Amino acid sequence: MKLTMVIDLSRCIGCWSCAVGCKLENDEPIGIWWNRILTNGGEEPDTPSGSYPNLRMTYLPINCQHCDNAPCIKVCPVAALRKRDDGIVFLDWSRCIGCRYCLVACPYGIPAFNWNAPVQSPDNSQFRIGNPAVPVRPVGVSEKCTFCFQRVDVGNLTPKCIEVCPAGARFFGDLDDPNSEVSQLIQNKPTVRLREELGTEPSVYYVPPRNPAIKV
Amino acid sequence: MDMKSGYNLTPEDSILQSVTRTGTAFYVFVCALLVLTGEFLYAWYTQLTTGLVVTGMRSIYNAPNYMGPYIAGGAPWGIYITNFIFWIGISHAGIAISASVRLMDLKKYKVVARMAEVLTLVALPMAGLSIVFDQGRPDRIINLLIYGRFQSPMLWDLTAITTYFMGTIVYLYLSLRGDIDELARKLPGREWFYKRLAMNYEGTESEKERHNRTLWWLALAIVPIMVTVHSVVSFVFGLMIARSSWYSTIFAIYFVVGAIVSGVAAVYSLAWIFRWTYKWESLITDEVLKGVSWALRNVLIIYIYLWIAEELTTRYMGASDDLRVSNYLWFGPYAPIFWTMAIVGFGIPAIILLKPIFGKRHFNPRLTFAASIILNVALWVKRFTIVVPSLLNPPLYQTGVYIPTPTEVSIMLGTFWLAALLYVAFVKLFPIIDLDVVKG
Amino acid sequence: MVNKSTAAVLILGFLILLSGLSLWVLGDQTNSVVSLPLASTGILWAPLLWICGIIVLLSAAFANILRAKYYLLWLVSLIVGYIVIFGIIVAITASLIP
Repeated sequence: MKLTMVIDLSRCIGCWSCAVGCKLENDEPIGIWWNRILTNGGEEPDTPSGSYPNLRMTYLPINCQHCDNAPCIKVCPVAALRKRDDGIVFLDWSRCIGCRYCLVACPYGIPAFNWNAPVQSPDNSQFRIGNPAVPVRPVGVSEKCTFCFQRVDVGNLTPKCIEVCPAGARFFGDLDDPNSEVSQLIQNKPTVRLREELGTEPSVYYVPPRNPAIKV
Repeated sequence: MDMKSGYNLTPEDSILQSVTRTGTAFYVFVCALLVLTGEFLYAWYTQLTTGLVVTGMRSIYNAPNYMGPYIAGGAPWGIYITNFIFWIGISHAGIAISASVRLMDLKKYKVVARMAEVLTLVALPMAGLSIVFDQGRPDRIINLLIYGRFQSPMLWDLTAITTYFMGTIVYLYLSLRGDIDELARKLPGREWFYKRLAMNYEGTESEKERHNRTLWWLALAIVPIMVTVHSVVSFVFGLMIARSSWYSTIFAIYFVVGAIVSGVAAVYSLAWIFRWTYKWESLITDEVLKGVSWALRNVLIIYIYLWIAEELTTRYMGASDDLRVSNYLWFGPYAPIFWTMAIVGFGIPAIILLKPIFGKRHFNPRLTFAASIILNVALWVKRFTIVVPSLLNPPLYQTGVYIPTPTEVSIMLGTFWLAALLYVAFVKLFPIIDLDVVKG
Repeated sequence: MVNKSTAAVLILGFLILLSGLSLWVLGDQTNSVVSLPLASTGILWAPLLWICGIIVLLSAAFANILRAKYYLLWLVSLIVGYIVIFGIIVAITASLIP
């Protein structure tokens, strides 16, 4: 099984639903986002490039690419980062020593770090908002997208971000299965992956936006 | 054996002054260090109980305690890692001198060999301590010994630094053993300590010969270890394909040469300080200092050559990704620091060190001492400019900023106070100059 | 030039080092697709084993000079001291981190 994600940039409206859904599902504390939407356009977020009327803007949702040749796995000194058989790059929070080498080595700048003791908002002490199968991480460890391993492990191949996207821009599935949605998309559409020249072999494919002038 | 007079001392007693004579200045110095260490401990306590948020470091794209998602990032590594590289650099002092003395039979420099080895012994734990400060969960560092992956450059660091440290302990003990035995006789008050430590040293000619032979082989073995240590430290950066300004073939040699510059400069500084404190002009002669400064000049030239090669490769085509980082460093917020370091930090020592080429009488020990201090400060800043700007220019997004906080600086400086305390403890226990230097 | 005890210590040290590294590789799960092993959880404590091997190797210098009891005193002190340093750091920091 080779879990793969496809994000259709021609449909993404930059609403951050996927980011917020992810944040709730995994009890991410204040300041930490496993899923972020970058703006491909002007200098500031949500601003276009060019000048009126020739304005161009598109969004790039980015999360852990779960690379086959992941630099983060290579550099982790305690094997806290491991590649599962289904393709998920998993960060073991109970083993992480907080050296932040994965933050440094990742070409996409994905891993986030708990600089202070996590503070959830709304406050988590009365009842957990997130999925109870995901432990709350302590201070001093790194964390990142897990392709919702807690859902995959019970047979639900729909991570939270895929579930909540209102534009239907996100797809997830098994690339080894030729009939899955992701296999079909990769076969039929001109998908690209981020920074392929680095040879990281990411598992997240992007369908380019309609405007050919925008580079992913 | 009148220790107090300072006149008419035998050469041996002159050396032992550093062990026996303890003036007011020494106590003031140690008290000041203890106060500063207390401040450092409080700062570290704050960091341990609050988390690394007390530093200026931040994740690549995220910032804590800020509700909005649109945040420019920061640098996940900062002055702690810079400090680590710096102390590893300083640690190259010991073997640089010891190797020259033993392997190349340069007996002239034996007088500064021991102070260099002690510097290595103190510098390596300080490097390790800098890393402990940087970890998010130092209570889990035992994981390095349980689960450590040897594919990770950090494990190469752990292995190489441990090897170098153990090798230095073995080397230092064997070369110290004769002096320990001597001290057992000369300082009867502490005889119980020295006698035990000497471990049945007999002092016969054949035993001394065995010591020297063993030390020769050990020095030979430690040289590749020394090269490996700073090379693996460079590999932590140089193998990162994600960071174009680090991903360079030259990094291993670059770092090793930089370390030798640091080490030799530190030895010069120490030699000058001891000479000045204990009036050892007859032992640490101008000739010796000139020789050390000569070595410093030569490695500095090699280092500047490698630096120029790096800069040229980055900037020539005007198209590479690391040009972005170079421009940020040359013209961005850190530009004043960079240019001061380059012009004042490297330029002035270079001028001072190159001047004696043009006339033997121009060697000025005091000026060269100033050069050695400035050079080590500049090298600390240089490593900062290698680590931080690259992290502030991630591939996909705009840059953030990194300013170390006072707590962070206090913790970082703690390594210097501790190093000083450990060093003076050694000075008060054992002769900082090998007694063999004055024996026949 | 090298006496028997020194040679024995050198060989022993080398063997311990090699076994530490080998145990790591054997416990490793190599992904055949890429050149370097990706996922890996080698035999536990293998790193400590190869570091002990290195310490034994270096202590050969002592074996060449010191008497047996002093040599063993040093060897044990170095290895135990190394582990104790880790233990002290872990103990102090564990009591302070929330």
